[in-house]
Amino acid sequence: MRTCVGAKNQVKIKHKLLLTTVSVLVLSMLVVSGCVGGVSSRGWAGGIVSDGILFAASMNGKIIAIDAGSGEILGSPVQLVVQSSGGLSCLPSSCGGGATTSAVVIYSSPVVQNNIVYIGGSDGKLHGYPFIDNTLRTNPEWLYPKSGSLSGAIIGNIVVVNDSIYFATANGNVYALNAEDLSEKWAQPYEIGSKVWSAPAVEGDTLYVGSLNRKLYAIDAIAGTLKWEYEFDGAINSAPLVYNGKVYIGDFSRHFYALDANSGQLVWEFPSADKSADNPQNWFWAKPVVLNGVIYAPCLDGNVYALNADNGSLVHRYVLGDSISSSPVVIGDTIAVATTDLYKKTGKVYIIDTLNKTQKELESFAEGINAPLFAYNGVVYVHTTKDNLYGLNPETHTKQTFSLSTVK
Amino acid sequence: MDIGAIWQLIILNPMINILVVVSKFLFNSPGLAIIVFTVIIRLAMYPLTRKQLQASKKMQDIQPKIQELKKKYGKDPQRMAKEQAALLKEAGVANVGCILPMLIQTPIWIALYQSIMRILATAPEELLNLSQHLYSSWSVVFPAVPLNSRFLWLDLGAPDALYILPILVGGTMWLQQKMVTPKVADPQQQSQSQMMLVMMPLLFAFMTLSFPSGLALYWVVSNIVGIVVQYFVTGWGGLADMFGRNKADVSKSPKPSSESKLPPAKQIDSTARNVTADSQKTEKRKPIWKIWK
Repeated sequence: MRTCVGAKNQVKIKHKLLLTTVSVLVLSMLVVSGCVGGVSSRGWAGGIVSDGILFAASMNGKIIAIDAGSGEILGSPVQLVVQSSGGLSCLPSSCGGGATTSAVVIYSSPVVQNNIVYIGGSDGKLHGYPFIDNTLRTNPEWLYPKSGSLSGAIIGNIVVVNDSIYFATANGNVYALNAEDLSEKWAQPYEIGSKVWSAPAVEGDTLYVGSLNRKLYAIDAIAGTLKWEYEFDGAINSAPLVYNGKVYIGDFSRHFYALDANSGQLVWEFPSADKSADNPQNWFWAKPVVLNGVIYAPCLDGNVYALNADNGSLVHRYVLGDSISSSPVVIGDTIAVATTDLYKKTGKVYIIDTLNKTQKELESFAEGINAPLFAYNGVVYVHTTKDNLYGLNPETHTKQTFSLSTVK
Repeated sequence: MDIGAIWQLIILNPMINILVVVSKFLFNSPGLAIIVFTVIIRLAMYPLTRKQLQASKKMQDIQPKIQELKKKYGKDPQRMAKEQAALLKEAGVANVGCILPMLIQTPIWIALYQSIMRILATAPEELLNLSQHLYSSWSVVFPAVPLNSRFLWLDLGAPDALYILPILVGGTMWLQQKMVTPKVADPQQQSQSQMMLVMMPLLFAFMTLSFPSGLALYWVVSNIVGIVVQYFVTGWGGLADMFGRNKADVSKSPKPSSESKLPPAKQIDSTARNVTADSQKTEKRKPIWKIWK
């Protein structure tokens, strides 16, 4: 009898061991298979400085106001949250994930209009917060849509022109709103129907926006109707640059183009020949900039291609080495460019002297840089992949550091 | 160069680029590319898979003998190990026979899994990272990305909203597991193997609920090819009992190949394994291995 009971206990212990093994196996597989591993969406918002106040968005969904001069954090940050499945985020809520709130992932840089800070979130909402008495207020909160959310996340930057706000959602809808009350300007959003991860550009009464479906669209900014569209060989993730009656944009087929802004006709293409040592070797991802009639097109192959704006001839190729996914910024006669080693997750900031066609390294970081650079009073601001914001002064070689995630 | 860089250079990058190219030439459909590529990889691995399956089957076949050894020398581990080694040698089963092919295949499966996850690139960060894996000399790959994620009713970058794939993943995995699960006399082992037989398919079906469909598609195709390969190498296995095809299974059992070192008794063992459904019967029987000895 004792033997029988002992055997039963032994079986129970073995069953428990088996269950433990299976449980460990389940957890290991969830971890290994990407539930908590892999590349997660963290966002890479840039920032803006308005009237000496710097507004930045952290990777944990906070909007932060900083005095650009003193570096003082102003008021408390505003936390953007979204209802989502909780715990292990890969588990559906119906299967034990449980609904909870999590921080909104922000790719879109904040913009300021009439003392209201607007920002687009991956929650499919446009948020607006008044900045009064040096503090961001959550009441009243401007929201579009007022209830629910848009069917796609806002990944690209939003644009404010003449009291109007323009932006596109990841599912390919383009919206135009009145900044005053966030009412719709168009009868309905313009439906591209494919992913849009880039910002639009507005010039005059035309909005230009590129899509991952390889097309660039010119849309009437007043009526919300299509003016023209142009199909490239590769997808478009870069925001277009409009300058002197032309639209400049690069694509995933490793070409850079100039189109007539009115007609959508191709003016020139770089490279014109398919085989050359100077040909781009990777995608054009970040928005180009223009300075003194030269277009500076950053490429993921680690080069900045300086192209004549009129004919697309190569003026100079700045070899920086690592990928350029962050949009550069113009400071006087220089251009600040950030590079990232996407494998090692390290970054560098260079200053390109466009007059002497030289470059010099300003700063290097043990963190990557994907967010667009922005500048104020000669200071270059860099938001890194570890959620630090650095203010670099190329003249004085001073550095301000803000750890955005830890701001309370 | 660290191990991660070597892994990317030798295994991951070639797979990603080939997947993109295959997708480009298969009507811009990564779904078709995943199917074709998974089948190709599984067929390329067939020699290893066959060795692994055959080794596993041999191991299953000599299980009754090992049980007998345990009964006889259970209290003398040294003698037990010696006798077991002799038995394995005699049966032509190398200890590494099951593990080595699996060890060689595992990195390839991990790379295939990673490649599929990377080419689907559902988030901007993922697409940006994908740019670093593409071959600059292959002009076709750069414009081909991002891939069209629509396939049949699926968005390959998102979970299956109709819950068809989780059922297929769980079902095919159960079938495959059932085929390889040996019928054991020990009720304790039997209950453990039954639990694993149910738990693993359930686990994968559950994970499929929240994983990109592209990955689930790979699991389904991989399982189906696995079932077919399994059938041709070792027959219906555990499924035969379900459909009352014991005899058919026996007749389907592969004849001893010329390369096999298993002595003629193997045939007797196979039969014995099928007869061991009732453990008591087995115990009453004179151990087959003794007859053979």
